[in-house]
Amino acid sequence: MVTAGMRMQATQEQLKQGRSLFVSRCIECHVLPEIGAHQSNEWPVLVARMAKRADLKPDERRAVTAYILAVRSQL
Amino acid sequence: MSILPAASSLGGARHFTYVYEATTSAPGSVESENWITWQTHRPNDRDFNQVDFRHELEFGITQRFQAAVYIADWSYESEAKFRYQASALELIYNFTNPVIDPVGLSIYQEIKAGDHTFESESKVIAQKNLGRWIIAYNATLEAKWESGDQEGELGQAAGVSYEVNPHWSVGGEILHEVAFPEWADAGQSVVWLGPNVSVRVGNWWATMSALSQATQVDDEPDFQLRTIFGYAF
Repeated sequence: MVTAGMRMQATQEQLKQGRSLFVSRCIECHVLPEIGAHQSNEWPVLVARMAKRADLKPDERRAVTAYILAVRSQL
Repeated sequence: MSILPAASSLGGARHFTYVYEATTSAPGSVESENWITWQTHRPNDRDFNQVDFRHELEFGITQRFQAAVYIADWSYESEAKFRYQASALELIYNFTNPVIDPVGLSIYQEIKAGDHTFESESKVIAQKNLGRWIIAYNATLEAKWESGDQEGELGQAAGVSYEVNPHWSVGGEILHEVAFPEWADAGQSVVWLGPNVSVRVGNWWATMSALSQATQVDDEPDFQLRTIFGYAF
């Protein structure tokens, strides 16, 4: 288990899925966003907002959020 | 939350109108694209004006594969009036990612059939995303059969786009085409180039390119303006 930011635990498999989705779905319409450009508490809201447009299922949305928060916590 | 408006972009938006990008639509997604291309002013026909329309539905099939149906390509020309041209099936398969791989690669195949015409168009699509920049290149082989005549065409297209913010991108595109009538000797090379702009708002996006002919090929338009409107369902 990996701590992915505030109160969020993620498995390695979930982080791997999140990274894969992040680098493929997000660039269908815009360049890859800089993870450091937003605070950890902003990202879950942003991902939730974008999930419909990126056709992310609930588990995919959680995986993307977990990956972003894991990276954000390392910055 | 001041960050929300800046992040409300949409999926499947194009940054170019002549150049294809290597990315494919998300599985299960459906998008409508409507194209308008205005071509005008040939060196040998100053009064030439033609407007082409395309109505397309695009479907994300898997993470790497998308299909599209061109419901109708039709045109309006000042002398020939309205004319249905063709309908088509377009398939794109993505191999590598333009962000995490050295280059993003996809292959493209289009089969078009219509009024006494049949076309096959194959492309290799390369793309690299570098920060806010998107760089794309297409190599195209096209075969056409029309009313008993046949023709081949080789094409290249390249584009660069810079994302000013999640809503706006600006850039440029260049096209190079060489026709081979009856698959024999090459015709004249023709090159167009010019700027483009792309906007994304909510479920909508629109991209426009304005290209001028950089060569002096008599029977090709000096100027063409293409706009694609997209709507994601």
